[in-house]
Amino acid sequence: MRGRSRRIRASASGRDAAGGTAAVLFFSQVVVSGLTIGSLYALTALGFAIIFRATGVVNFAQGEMMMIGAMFALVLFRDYHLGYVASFVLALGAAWIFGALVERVAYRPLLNAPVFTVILSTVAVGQILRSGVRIVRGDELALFPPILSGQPFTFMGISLTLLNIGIVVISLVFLAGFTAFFRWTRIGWAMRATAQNKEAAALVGVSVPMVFSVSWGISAALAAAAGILVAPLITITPDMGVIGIKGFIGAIMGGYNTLSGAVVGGFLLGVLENVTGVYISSTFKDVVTFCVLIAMVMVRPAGLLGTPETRRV
Amino acid sequence: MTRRSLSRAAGWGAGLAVLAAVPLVLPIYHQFVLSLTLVNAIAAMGVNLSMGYAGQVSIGHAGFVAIGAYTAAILMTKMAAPYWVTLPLGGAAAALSGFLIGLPALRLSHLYIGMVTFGFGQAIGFIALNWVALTNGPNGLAVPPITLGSFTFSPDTFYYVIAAAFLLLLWVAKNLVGSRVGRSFLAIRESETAAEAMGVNLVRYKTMAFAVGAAYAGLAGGLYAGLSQFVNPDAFVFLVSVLYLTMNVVGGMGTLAGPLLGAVIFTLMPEMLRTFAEYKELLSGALLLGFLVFFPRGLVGILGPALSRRWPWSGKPAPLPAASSVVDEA
Repeated sequence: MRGRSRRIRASASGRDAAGGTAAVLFFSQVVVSGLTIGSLYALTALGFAIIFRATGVVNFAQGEMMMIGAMFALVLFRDYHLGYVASFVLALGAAWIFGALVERVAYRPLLNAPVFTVILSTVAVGQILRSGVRIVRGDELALFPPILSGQPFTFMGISLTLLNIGIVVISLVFLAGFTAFFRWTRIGWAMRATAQNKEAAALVGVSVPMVFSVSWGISAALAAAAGILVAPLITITPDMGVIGIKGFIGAIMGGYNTLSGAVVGGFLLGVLENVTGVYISSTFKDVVTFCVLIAMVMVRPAGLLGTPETRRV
Repeated sequence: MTRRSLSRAAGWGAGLAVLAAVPLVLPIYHQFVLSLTLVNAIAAMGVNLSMGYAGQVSIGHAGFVAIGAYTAAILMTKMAAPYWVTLPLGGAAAALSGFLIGLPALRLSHLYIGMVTFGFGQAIGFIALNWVALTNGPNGLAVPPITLGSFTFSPDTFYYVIAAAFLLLLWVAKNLVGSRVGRSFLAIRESETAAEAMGVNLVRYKTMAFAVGAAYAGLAGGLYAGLSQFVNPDAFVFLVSVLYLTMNVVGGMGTLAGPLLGAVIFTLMPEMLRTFAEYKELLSGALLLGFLVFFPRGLVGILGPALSRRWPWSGKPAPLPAASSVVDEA
């Protein structure tokens, strides 16, 4: 009740003066731009969350998977002159195979190793991919065409582009799709069961190696999709994977162990970053982001929407 | 004196003699590389104490090194503080931040500690890059020449400062590992629950593991600032944190000799592979992955049994956590 009256008062005072309206409009613009960036983080965060859901580890090479996916698409599109859709689909497939390969090389041999060994091996994979791509393709900066028009138009006083809306919609579709996948398909169940307890899942007939392979494949394909969608907004370089860090922070903010948490966290991070950048300091928005990360992990490690981690002995 | 303590004393004496004599025969650039090796070895020892002994993941150790280096550089340039004060202050500042980072680790699993330390390393890098008023941003800070009384150190004489610090810190690490603290670290690494049940104070020893590991890194940072006389954010990027980890994994984590061996390999490698500079990242990444998968005990694990009789530091490689304890905790 009190919250509601406060909200009404806030909107009324916003309507009072013309300056107030402009400020509100400006703020909405800042939030909307934040949501666009946030949708990219959300897609990346989703990729993190899927591997975590299925295998219980964090893939520190997720950003590099994104870069590899975008590189696949770039090579197909520019060097082999395939169409946009064909390049997109083939790149997703290639990324899937690639993700399964990484799982086979860097994750499966370490199934019985300590958790931190697995973390280190994903870190190693990230470094190998980054430097490998740099050796093969050099430090080129390559632009990739956007999936939709990047021409801005004005809607209710806020400047938007179709590309922005498209990316937001696509990430929401992915979220809905994967949520349904985890809830209603057999392989989705198998993935959740495996994350909870590998041995028990194997005992009830889940093919654990297959689950690992599929979840790394899906995650890599998702990362590739994110990479291809992001490519028009940032350039494709061997180092573009750093955006993966943001997805990772978004996933932590929202909650690692739920898909919706990761996506919400990604959007939230985008908005937070943009608001900090505009109202506080653009140079310090990354610092603010990391302070939020550390504070979040200290205060509520499960994230905003996540369920708290229970530790079994 | 027993035979064993005699041979141990001989080992330290030989190490001391080699470290003291080497600069006399090396050209100046090689001497710089040797100093750098020792600085890296100190930082890698820090990672080893937190991670190899106490089992607390740290993938942002370059952040602690940066704190030590920038503390020294900033205090010297802005407040004209003597280097000998700033060096321990840098170590203390890093230890304090390690302690703070260690606090959430009390109730979190490895994955989250990994994320926190990773985020911490990134945040320090961003601050160093963006807080231009304090750190001079990407242009970095030039560190004034280091003096002791009327004597001014040059890079070749500063080697002796680094070598002394290295030996001191190695001695401290060796004693720490063999003490009650070190045994508590190992117990925590193997199983926190079992350690707690046996009376190990988790709050004290987990935060201590982070603080000690960070203090080593901070001191390494301060020594780096004194050696290179220049500090900028490029020296503390994520790649550097990974390099410290690689040194430990390839050398042999959880052994005293491991990080030293790793530091030697990964400081000399880029120098020897100068013509293949672009391959060095790929190679160190591949080595990290390869050792994790095929030789999780590192070079010490491979060479250790053969050397342990003669080499006082290698000892018995501490066993890695058993598979079962890990699966249960995940």
